[in-house]
Amino acid sequence: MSHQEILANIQEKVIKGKIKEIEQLCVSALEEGLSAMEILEGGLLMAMQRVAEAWKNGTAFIPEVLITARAMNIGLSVLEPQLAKGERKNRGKVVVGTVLDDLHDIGKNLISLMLKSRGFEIVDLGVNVKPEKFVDAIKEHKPQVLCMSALLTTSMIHFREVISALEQAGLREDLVVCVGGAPVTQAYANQVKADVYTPDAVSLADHLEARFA
Amino acid sequence: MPLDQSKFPKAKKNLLSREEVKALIKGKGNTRPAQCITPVLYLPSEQPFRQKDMELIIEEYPDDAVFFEYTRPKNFGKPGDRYVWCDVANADPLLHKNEDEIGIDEKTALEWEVIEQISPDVPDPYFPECLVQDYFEDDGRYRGIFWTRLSFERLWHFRGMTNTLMDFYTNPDEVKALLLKLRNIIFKVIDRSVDEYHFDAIAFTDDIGMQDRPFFSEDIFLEFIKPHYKEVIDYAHSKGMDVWLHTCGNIEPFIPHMIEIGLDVLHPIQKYSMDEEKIIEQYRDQICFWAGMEVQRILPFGTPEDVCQEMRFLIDTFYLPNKGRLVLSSGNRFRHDIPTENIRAFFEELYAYGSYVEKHGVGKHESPSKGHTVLPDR
Repeated sequence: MSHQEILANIQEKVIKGKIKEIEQLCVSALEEGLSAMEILEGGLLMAMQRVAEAWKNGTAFIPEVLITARAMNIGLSVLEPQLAKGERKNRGKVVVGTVLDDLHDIGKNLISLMLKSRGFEIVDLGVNVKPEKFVDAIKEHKPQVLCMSALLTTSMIHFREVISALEQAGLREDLVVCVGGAPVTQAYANQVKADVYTPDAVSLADHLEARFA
Repeated sequence: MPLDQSKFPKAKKNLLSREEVKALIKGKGNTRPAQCITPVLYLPSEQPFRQKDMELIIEEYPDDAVFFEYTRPKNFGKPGDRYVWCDVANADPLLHKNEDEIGIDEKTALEWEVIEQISPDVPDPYFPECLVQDYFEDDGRYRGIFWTRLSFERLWHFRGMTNTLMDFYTNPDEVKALLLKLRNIIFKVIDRSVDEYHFDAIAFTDDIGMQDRPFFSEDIFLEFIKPHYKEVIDYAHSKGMDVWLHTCGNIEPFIPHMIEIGLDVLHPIQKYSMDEEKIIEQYRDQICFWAGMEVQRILPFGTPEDVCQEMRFLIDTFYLPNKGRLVLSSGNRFRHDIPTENIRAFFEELYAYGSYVEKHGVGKHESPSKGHTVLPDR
């Protein structure tokens, strides 16, 4: 099998979420003489890119994005020890969480998987997160980005509380604050003084990847 | 039992009878649109600050079609418990953990190995403790049973949503086996609802839509969900029951399939997720729409006049004169951020404009969402 065929096979398996096969395929590809960076870029990242495009076209849905991101992260765990130091760009640290009074987590989980696969380090605070917990996490982890999710009109009001608490704690200035969730709009994001709103997790991953290129 | 209006002494409306609602659902009605809010408004657990106001509003504007909730089984019990979803000892992932640190997904999801140990005959809808909640005797109105979480919702209450969405690819056989078990439980609920309570319908929830698209592809719907829905609908129909379904979000690609398998009533055609005018243009008179006024902007943050205007828009859009095909409600529960005056406007206009179009035909009111962006002002 040529190197090109090996990479194409990895792409297909990642897109189909064949997580049991990905680990072995990456090991075999390394043994065949492909570099870790070649496998990452030509196999794993290319697969993610194809699914992201399909999402934008409306032909991919959450299951496809989730299984691809998970398979990619499993492949990445095989390759990371082989990557030369500094070869894989660390784009920064992101704290994610669903705000207080809200237990919906699919958006938060999706953005975590997507950003991890694109070189961000993720600190996941879970769901129903109190404003003070967000503030403590920002103090402790010193991230570049905070992503907050809310699915309810009754919970999205907590965006403003968190942002105010960050301002009061002197933590707001250097932090990119992103908000999202079903009832959230660009106008509402502006109203609560968030920096970034996108209608979905894939768009947010694209935005942050470009912003921290 | 004929409808007796005197049983509703505080009512400010003339209620529709069982036969009138049945005819309206089938597109053979000659009445105003029906009101059915009970499945999304569970009055005993309304917001405490407006409980009395809501009780009065419902006394003044009773539903034309009423639903009773089948007692929900507990999630976890011990071996031998008959009315639980999981009777495996110590299976609850929350046991011995700090709940503050736990999300609702992977950390609380059940592994397939646990699910396989659950007894095949639990929950048992015939178990004596299982009752229809807040039951009252037939008063001549259309009546139904409300069973939450038809398929996808039930799957992710076992497995967590993230896992479930991946299970369609990674564990398809296990998903199908679980759906088969769920089907058999629902069949028993239908049997009991007909044999003991003589209900006219069964309503389900199953949120399969997100804000801008369905959770999953049409292929996944066709492989896993549609066959499950069809079996349930066929069985309910064989027992003489109508089937109502609530699903939030954008489900546009699935609507023709729902019509094909005979779903009778669909809720809520969510604004900002789907274009109501496009939906009615495509599927006019093929299904009864249970149009739900949206709860993301207009109801919580609009004025009472916005609410009235939206109600007129919904009725103008969905109501078919001399046929019906329209039941009205909110799109989801009235949460605490929805002002009571907006809720009152909702019910008053539903009846007032509904009665108007019955006599004079529909107008061309536009949704207030086309005029301005309604946002929280705080």
